[in-house]
Amino acid sequence: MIREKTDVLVIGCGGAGCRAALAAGENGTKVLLVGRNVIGKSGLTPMANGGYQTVWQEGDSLQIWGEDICHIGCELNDPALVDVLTENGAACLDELASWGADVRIKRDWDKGKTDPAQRFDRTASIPGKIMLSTMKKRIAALPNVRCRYYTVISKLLVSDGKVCGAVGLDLPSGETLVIQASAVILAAGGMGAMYECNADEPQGVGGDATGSGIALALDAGARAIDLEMIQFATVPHEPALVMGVRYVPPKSGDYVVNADGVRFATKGQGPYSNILAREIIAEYEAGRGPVRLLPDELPYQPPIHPAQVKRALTIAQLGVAPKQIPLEVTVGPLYSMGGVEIHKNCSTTLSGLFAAGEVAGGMQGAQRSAGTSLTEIIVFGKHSGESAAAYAAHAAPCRVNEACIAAEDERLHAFLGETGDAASTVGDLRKRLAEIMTKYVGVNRNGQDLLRAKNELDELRKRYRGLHVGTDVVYNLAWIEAVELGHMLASAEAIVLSAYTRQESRGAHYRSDFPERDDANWLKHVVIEKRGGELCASTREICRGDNCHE
Amino acid sequence: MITVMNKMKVTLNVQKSGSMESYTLEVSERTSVLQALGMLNEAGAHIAYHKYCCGFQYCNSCLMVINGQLKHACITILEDGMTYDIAPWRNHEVIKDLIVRES
Repeated sequence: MIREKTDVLVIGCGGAGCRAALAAGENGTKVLLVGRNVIGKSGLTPMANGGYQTVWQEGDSLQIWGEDICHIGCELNDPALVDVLTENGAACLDELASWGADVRIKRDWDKGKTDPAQRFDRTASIPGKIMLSTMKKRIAALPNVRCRYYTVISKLLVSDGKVCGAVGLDLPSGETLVIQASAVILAAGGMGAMYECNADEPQGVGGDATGSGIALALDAGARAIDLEMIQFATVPHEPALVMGVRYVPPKSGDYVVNADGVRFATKGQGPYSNILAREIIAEYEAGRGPVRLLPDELPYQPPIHPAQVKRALTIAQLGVAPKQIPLEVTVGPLYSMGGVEIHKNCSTTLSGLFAAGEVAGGMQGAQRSAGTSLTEIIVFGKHSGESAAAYAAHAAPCRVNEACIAAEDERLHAFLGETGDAASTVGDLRKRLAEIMTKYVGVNRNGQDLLRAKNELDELRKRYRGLHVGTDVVYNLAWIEAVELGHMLASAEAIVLSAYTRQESRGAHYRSDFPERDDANWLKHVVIEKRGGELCASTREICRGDNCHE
Repeated sequence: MITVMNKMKVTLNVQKSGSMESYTLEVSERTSVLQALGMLNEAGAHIAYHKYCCGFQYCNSCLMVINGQLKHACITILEDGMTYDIAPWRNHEVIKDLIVRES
């Protein structure tokens, strides 16, 4: 068993995690940043094209921007969190630029906003890859911030109601890893990997968005809100190898046709429209698929950033650019608006635990505003780092629970064993999970289907318990996937319960048995937490005013 | 337009830690080396490699030596009837199979 100790542990080395580690380490606090692979080679930030919204057009203001975000989010957004985003977005971008990141603003191009639902164009451009390489250099210059790669965290350690570290696997040795920490920041990203056709993995060969953060937080006793709010968007489907072609014209709905060549979509719908998502799925379900983008009519969208030019060139050289081939599209999960419940300083309901980025909930409400995710990971990453360092400086020393560590060590190693010939593989179970989630908890939902999902997930969990991954301990991919699958199953169960609880349709959450938005009864958060080992659902009013975040 | 996906046969010789393994598999047109590795693992090959991260030679997580050249496995497209020798990135400590240690 490997033992390590730090002041602040950051889980996840995408944009939010890197920014958190920098902020936490700025004043000398000891920080350990853990990730599955080196910075820039894991998580979903590396593939982010680079939309980073701030206010820069004449006539626009922070208030108008905030109103747009809340309008798109169907007023389910936590206004205090929206304020944190809008008030700090520009300063955080300037900071990245001052560290040497190449930031471009698309002032000269005003032909159409990324999302028609937004009143102003707010797109600045800094590809995720550049964000990460910029922050990686700064992290390397801080001797008190250490990166620990090739690591998967499987459980948070809690003593006396406080988080005091985590347990996981050191992949190169296969040994159990125990990290003692005064504060833990969850920056573990989203959970798209539990669905089919997910935008996180256009090649369909795996994905990092496993929902681990939600599972870790719920297991430790923190609360999560609005987990049913998962944004489904148009994603390329066929031909194979259309990766990187997350081509989303501002009015996507105007360029899609079904197999009969009929334009079926509501005019003017943006790429992230839940209405368009439902309309595309309806065509497939009625047997009128495949749905295609019309290559000849697509508007030309000049890339803003040099890195995007290179990306467009790569795609064109492969002959899979949307204007070169008729691109079949379907709908896949893109972003989780819900997540771990946070206050505006990124603390959670559990002492010592902080969360930032896609893993956290509340800011985006019921539907994400295009171009705000990169702003979100940087702004909230920074906030979480500062808050966690301040907390760690004054936290009483906490003792890790040795019995809990031993139990987790045993659980992790119980996966090691020969797989029988007839036994299910971890791949089989992951595929089954994606089938269940896509079929019953996808774009269209209803009470009966959600109950079916719950039952089928219960069955799947039984099969999971007997899972074996072979006996190899060094970088055993099946073992890693098995650990992650446990998180995915736990997150899936929470999503299903949350979706079942919300008896209305709002934003990304559509219930055919409750097709209307119901502000009288449901303008509030659905809260999921674990009580006595069982998941429970309740509701909470949306924080308005100053006091609810103190 | 009707897209016909022709099945192709390819051979992958993979330099695993300790042994060279040869796999022959059927793939569709426009299949990448990275996808093929995923298919082999689904069939029980147990090859350690970095799965797809960005998918368009952007993040460099899938760099490996393919037929003697350092390439991005995510956009290296398989051709019918060809054999591909696949080895880990040179001059790096190999953690396992195609996974090397970076800092």
